[in-house]
Amino acid sequence: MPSSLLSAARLHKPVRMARMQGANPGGDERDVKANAFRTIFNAAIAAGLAILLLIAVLAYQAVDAAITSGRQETHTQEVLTGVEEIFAQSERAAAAAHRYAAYGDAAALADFRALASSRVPKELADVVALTREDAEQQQRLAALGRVLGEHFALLERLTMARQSGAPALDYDKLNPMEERIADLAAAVRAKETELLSAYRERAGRTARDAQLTTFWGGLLTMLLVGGAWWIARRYEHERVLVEGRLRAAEEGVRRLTDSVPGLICYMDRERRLIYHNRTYRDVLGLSREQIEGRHAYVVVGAEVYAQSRVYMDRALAGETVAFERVHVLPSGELRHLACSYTPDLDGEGRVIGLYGMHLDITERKRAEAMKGEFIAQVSHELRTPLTSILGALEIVNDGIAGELPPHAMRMVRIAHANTERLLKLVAEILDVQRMSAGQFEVRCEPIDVAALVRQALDASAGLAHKAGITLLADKLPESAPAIGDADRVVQVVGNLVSNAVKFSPRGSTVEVTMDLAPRAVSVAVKDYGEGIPRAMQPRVFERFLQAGSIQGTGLGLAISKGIVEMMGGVIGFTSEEGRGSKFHFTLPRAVPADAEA
Amino acid sequence: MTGVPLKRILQIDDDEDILAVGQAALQGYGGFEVRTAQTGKEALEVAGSFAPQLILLDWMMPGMDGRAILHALQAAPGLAHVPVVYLTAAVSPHLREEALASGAVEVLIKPFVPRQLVAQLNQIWERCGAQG
Repeated sequence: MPSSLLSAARLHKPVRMARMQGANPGGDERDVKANAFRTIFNAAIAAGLAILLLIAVLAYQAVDAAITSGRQETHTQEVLTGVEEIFAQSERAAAAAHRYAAYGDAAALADFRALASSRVPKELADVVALTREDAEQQQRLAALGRVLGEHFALLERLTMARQSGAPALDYDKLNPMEERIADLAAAVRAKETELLSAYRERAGRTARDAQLTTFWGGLLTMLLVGGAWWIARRYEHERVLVEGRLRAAEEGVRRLTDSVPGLICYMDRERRLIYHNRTYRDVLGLSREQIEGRHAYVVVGAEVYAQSRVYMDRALAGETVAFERVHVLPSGELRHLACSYTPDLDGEGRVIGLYGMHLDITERKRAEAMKGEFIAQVSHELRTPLTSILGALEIVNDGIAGELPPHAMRMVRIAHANTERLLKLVAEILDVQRMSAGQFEVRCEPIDVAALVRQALDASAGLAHKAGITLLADKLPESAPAIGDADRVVQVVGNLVSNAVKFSPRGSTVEVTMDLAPRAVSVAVKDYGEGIPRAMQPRVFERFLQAGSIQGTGLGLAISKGIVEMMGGVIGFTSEEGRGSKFHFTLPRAVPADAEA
Repeated sequence: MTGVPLKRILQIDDDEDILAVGQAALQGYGGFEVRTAQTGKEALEVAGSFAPQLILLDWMMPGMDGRAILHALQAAPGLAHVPVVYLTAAVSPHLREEALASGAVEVLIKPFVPRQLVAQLNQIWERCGAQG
């Protein structure tokens, strides 16, 4: 057997057993709680993850801003350095030009020319390239370029003057130009510095935002994760608690069922033995491993399975069934088992398994058989002396053995009537015993119910007369062919009539009627007595039920019901308190062969 | 059917009182000539000299029971065709079938009503013994 099957069975079991014992009160409540736990836990984890995501996005933005700001700073520095350089070189160029003009230093002239024609324009071009995206700076730089060009042109003229001896230039033109260069360079620097500080500020703000978000988000995430952890721990604690309780309940159920002398088992829909008690093991002579998780067929064997299968089918279809079977022990001993299968339903009413209970009724069966034999024996032993008594009294009563004085005759008649009562009692006890042992049998022969009703009425005439009751049976059919046991029909009618007489007030009538339906003959006996109290009505056909202080064994109606049902008929009654009762029974009708034509 | 009327009856029962009551009833109501026997052995002895026309036999008897006696009687010379009627206090669902199968012509139940017993025996005689 696959181990997964076994573990599935084991997993399933504690719950099953707890349900079996009802040891899990408030289980639903716990389920609700567990669900709430799970929801809160999941929500906390989700919120934590969302916050972490937010922090990640903000952090990215902060880093991005910082990188951008850094890059900008480098750029700005380059621009500033470039501008500084331009400014410095232009001053150096001016100084060189002046020196040449003043002293005729050839090196100074070369220096000036190199600066003015190559180094400064190149530096300017670099800076222009760096600030290509800033139109304002481009304008400023263009202006700077123009002023520098004019400045260098003037200085060139200064150097030329020195070479050609031409008059010196007007220095007044140079000075404002230098001022203008300084202003433009300062404007370019100021703009770049302004940009840089704007970038720095933005980067700082973003970094601060990221810092704050990270701090609070981290704190919140920690709280959420902590909460989730706490919930998980609580849930786990609860689960351990519940499992512990279930285990305890299961152990309790096991101990309880092990102490039961009957065989107890639980079978799932696939008829695998999920649970069983010690007696089950012992009687089958198997070990736990040979039973648990295995199919019923394997556990009980083909023969027993064949006997029980139909009942399992019915139980798994939702019916509670009871039956008896004989079980052969491994020792060969026979045991009678009274078995019952009860379907196990889930919350939606689907059958998910069955509970099996088997009681060893061997001793009871033995006792019942002994009781039956004893009653049959006693009945025989009672009837033998009663035969002599009754016969003797009859003979005396009929005057065959000579005349007796009237007073003595009255005594003989009393003895006679009571002997008959005694005989009836013996017969009834025997009938009941036979019925309860399932040994009661009736004949099935063609009978004339009308004739048998008349016979029973004749027999009851004395009783009715004595009680001051008129028996009314003037509407009986000539004949009423049916199938049954003649003696038993007389017994049933006799019982119903004598009951009616017993429960009728003196001076009233008891009516006996018959009805011939196509398939059944029915007989009804109606009295105008007190009727049957409503509370007692459902139990009218029970054995030993006796109304008030009326004499009798209380067996008559139970026996009558048994007889009628054995003959394939139905017995019933209607009764109204204070207005009387009507008992009726049917017998299957015999259809004469010629009546078919 | 015009046949020989029933006159001689042999009643066999281990209970003395039942024999006494039975004899009184059969003689008193039916005017029959009645002999009794309490055991199978005694029955065979009586039957030999008495030549009964009908035998009334108890079913449950100590020692040799009704069925054994019936077989013994039917095996005896001259008794093979004498109808045997069981008279018994036993009540078993299959009593009648068993009794008829063992060779009896009828089963009557104890306790009997003396007058009815005579009538029943006459009917049985009409049915299965009168022509012999």
